[in-house]
Amino acid sequence: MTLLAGLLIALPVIAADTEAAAERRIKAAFLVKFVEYVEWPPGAFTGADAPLVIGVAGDDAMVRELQSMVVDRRFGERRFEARAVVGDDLATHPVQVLFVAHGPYAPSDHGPPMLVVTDVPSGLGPGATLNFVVKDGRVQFEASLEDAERRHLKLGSGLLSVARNLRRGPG
Amino acid sequence: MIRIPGRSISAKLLVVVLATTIAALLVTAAAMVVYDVRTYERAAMRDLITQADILGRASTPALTFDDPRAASETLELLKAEPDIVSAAIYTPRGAAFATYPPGTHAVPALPEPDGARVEGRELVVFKRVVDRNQILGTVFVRAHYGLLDRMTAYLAILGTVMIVSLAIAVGMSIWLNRAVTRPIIAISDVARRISETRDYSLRAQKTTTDEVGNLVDGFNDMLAEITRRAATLEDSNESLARAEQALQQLNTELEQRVARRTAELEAANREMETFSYSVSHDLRAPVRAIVGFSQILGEDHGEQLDAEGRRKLGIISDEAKRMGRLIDDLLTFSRLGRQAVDPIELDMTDMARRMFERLKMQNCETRVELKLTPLPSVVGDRALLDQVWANLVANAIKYSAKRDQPVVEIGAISDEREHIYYVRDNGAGFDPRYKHKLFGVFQRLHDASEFTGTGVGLALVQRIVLRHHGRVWAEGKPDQGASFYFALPREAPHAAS
Repeated sequence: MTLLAGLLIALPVIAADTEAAAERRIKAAFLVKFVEYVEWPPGAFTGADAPLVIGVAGDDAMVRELQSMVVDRRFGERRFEARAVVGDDLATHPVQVLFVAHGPYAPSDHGPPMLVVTDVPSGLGPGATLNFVVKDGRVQFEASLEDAERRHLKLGSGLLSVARNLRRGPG
Repeated sequence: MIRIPGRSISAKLLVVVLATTIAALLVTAAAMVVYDVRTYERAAMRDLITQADILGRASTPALTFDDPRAASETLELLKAEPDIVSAAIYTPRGAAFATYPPGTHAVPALPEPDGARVEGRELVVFKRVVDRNQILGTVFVRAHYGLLDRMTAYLAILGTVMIVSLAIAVGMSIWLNRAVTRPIIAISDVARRISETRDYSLRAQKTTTDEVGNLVDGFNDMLAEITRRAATLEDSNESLARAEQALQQLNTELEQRVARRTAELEAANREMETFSYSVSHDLRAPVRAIVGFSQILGEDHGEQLDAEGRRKLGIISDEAKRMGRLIDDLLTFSRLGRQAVDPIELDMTDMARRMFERLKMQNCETRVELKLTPLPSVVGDRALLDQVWANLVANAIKYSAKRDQPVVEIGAISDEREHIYYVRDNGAGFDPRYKHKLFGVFQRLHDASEFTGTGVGLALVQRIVLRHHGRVWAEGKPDQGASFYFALPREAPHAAS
């Protein structure tokens, strides 16, 4: 109920939706917007005009949500793409953003430069760059500079300025 | 023409300089103030818009990720800007997202479109926050607008500048004035000295080559011209005086000469009259002797002569008598020239009537009728004017005697200057072609055989009337009678000659 009330305050227009769908929509919007505050290393994309791919693990509804959201969106010259991540296909089909819908991220690979966003109420887990938290009915997020550094990602200061519970790197 | 206050040129120039300076300063100041106000307002608005833009950009993540706390923190940064009174960030839907100072209600409930305006003594700016063509929200900023303070400071500076400028202008104009006005004052001094002393030999000194220098030249030329004219005038005055003197001298000489000539003429005239008198007088004795002896011859020896002899003796006697009368008349005429006029008031009516009666008796002309109208009296010599009446009346009786109804008419006409007396008859008259001869001595228009007379009478009349300062004339036609006029002045002039 608290969640619903928070959503009603934040985005009253979607009050007709179910609470889960509304929250999902906000998170999807955040995922798309995060892209703008992140700088990937040169090797993160397969080509100059390769699309920016957002992978979703464990939430097909979120995939659909994202797909409808990024139809006309561009990141620079790149198109957006959203797909469900199944099993271990990340090695063959890399993504630039990975949303892990349930549970902390269990990395099998620490290397690839991708923004890993988790949705763990208890806080940032290892291997996650950003983590959604809901506080006072608002969707907020935590950020780990340590993880970003490890993945050779640069997080924009704008993103950091609104992040809760900013975890700095070892330096 | 504009009257500039001030009695001297220096004062007027000072007024001109001050007025010009003040006018220039005021216009400049006004232009600067207007320009500055506009510039200041624009700059202030631009600054505030920039400020709002920066705020918007800084709040983009907060708006993007729906984080009012972050937005509030961004607004908190405005503390460094004391001119900013209040600020707010609105969501795209118009709800207040964050405010500054935190929790204030002094911000608009709803955002407005982009724009900046002055509200009283504050500037208000609304600015959309746009990110990738997406409106994220609106920033509102209200700042203290220090125009009045700025204007006060500005005017104070302008006032100071103005006072200093005026002081410098006054100093410079006094200094420049001397250079401009000194030559003018020099001319003015010379002009005043000349009008006081009338000394036209003074000259103004030329110190400049500008218009004042030209003025000095013109002034000096004029003075030279005045001096020259005055000299010319004096010369011509002198020569005029000399000419006048010469003329006067000439006049005096001329008068003297006239007087001398007149005296000579009078003397000559007198001599001639004396001569003619003595000649006439001397002629009388032989003529009387001829008359007397012819009478004695007729009485004593008449029987010895035949009828023809006696007739011829009669002719000798008659002609001698006639000659005697001629001589008498000549003597009378001549005497008139020397006889003094003794003027008294005369009753001309009485004189004319008496003369007519006497002559009528003398000539035994009982048929002659007299028509006498009253005559004005006149001042004159009784004996002389009696002579006039005698001659004119005698002539009238004589020449009208052959008429069946002889009439003699005596009358007078008066005007304001003279009395004109006339004697008119209905007798033989005369040919008007010869009327200029009527009044000459021995001039006769009629044959002596027809009318007796010596031809001296009318000459006498003219002489007497002229001595009374009058005039005589006659009108007539053959066989239609004659009119003789003599005019005497009403006021008898003195000094009859």
